[in-house]
Amino acid sequence: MRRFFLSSKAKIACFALAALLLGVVFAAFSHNSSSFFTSIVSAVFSPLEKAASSLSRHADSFAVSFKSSSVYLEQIEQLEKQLNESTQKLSEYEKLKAKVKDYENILGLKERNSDFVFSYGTVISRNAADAGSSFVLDVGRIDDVSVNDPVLCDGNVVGIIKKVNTTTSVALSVLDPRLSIGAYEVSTGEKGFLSGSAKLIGDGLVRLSGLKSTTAVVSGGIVITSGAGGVFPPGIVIGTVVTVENDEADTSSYATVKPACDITSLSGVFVLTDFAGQGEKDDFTVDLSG
Amino acid sequence: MIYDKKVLLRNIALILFILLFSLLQNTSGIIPEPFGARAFLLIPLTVFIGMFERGVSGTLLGAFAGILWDISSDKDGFFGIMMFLTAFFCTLMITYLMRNNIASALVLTALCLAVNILVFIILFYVLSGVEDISYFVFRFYLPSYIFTLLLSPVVYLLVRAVYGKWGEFRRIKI
Repeated sequence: MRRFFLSSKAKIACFALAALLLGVVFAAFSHNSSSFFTSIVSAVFSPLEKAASSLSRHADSFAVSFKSSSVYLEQIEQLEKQLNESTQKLSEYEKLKAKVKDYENILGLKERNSDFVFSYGTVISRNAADAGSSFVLDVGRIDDVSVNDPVLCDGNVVGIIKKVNTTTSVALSVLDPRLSIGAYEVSTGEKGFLSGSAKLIGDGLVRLSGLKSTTAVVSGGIVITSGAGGVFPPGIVIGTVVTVENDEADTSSYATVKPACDITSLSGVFVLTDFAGQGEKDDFTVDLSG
Repeated sequence: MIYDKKVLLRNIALILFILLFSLLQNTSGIIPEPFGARAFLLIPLTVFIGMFERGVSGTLLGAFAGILWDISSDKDGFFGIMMFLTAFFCTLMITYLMRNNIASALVLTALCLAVNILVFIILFYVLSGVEDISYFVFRFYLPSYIFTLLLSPVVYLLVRAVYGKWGEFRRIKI
């Protein structure tokens, strides 16, 4: 025993132990928490570790090709299910985004007119036989919609409700010649009545009739509702003047007006179910056909 | 029992056709609209149902097609009555005057389309005092009339296929 501890081998072992203990103390006090031994060993052997890890990954992928088709099928089904769920969520998101945009557009109108009560509806179909671009909404009696309620899109007039079912309603668009709206041009204040025209419907225009022969209305003028008849509230934009022409039937003039919203591509609209003065007629009563 | 099952399946198929064509006709963007013309597919469908089905059931199916169309119309009842009369008229014509073949089908379709469109224009536009109706006629209704007539043989073949499979008469002469 004494010979062992005095031998050179024992001395080397003690020396190594002392160096290791010294390294531990050094690691404890250094900010890297790493001793010089570990650093050296790490530098030497880390490439080997990388090689081993890479081999292991390749071995995994090699093993994958031996998986049975049922495993793949299961994975495919799971991925397809996830994809379907994601697609549905994306679709719902897009719908909500469009709805939020519609609400943002109507917000300004609501802030200016606190008495307005709206019901949001979506265009779901149309009457194929109607050349006047009538459309069907997914709101009806249960949403407080009634006949002669104005229909707005982005705060602009696009039509009027003509028939109400329990959950749907049919609206005539402003392009329909059977619809007549009391209106005036903003800058000149000239009043007239706006209605669809069989001649202009193909171009998506409506006609503002009853203007004076010496009218000052010019192209670019904005036409808004006058509130006559109590059907439409006053001050709602209908469209902009395109041209001003002389009426063939008499000495008055008329303006062709382009509606502010594209009637043929409506999706989300607001039905104005209530506003102050709704249904109250004044001296400038406008008869609505039908 | 076989006869009853055939009638049931036939009626289910026809009702599904009516629903399908109602959707196709009244939803924009599904059927192309060349030069703004629309296809009034429920009219030829009603004509052919009246021709093949005959009797009360054909007339009632026609009325059902009209009622579906009325959902999207601002005047309730118009299309229900018109399709009822169309199916009834076709039933009478095939029963007493004409043969059930493609030529009769096209003649009846052309006639019923024209009558339906004319009555629609008179009731919805003329009586409402709409001016310049000739623009509607030549720019919309006439192109739609022609377009619907062009598509009607396809509808005829579909209805004939239903009756070929589940009809009382197995052979339909062309």
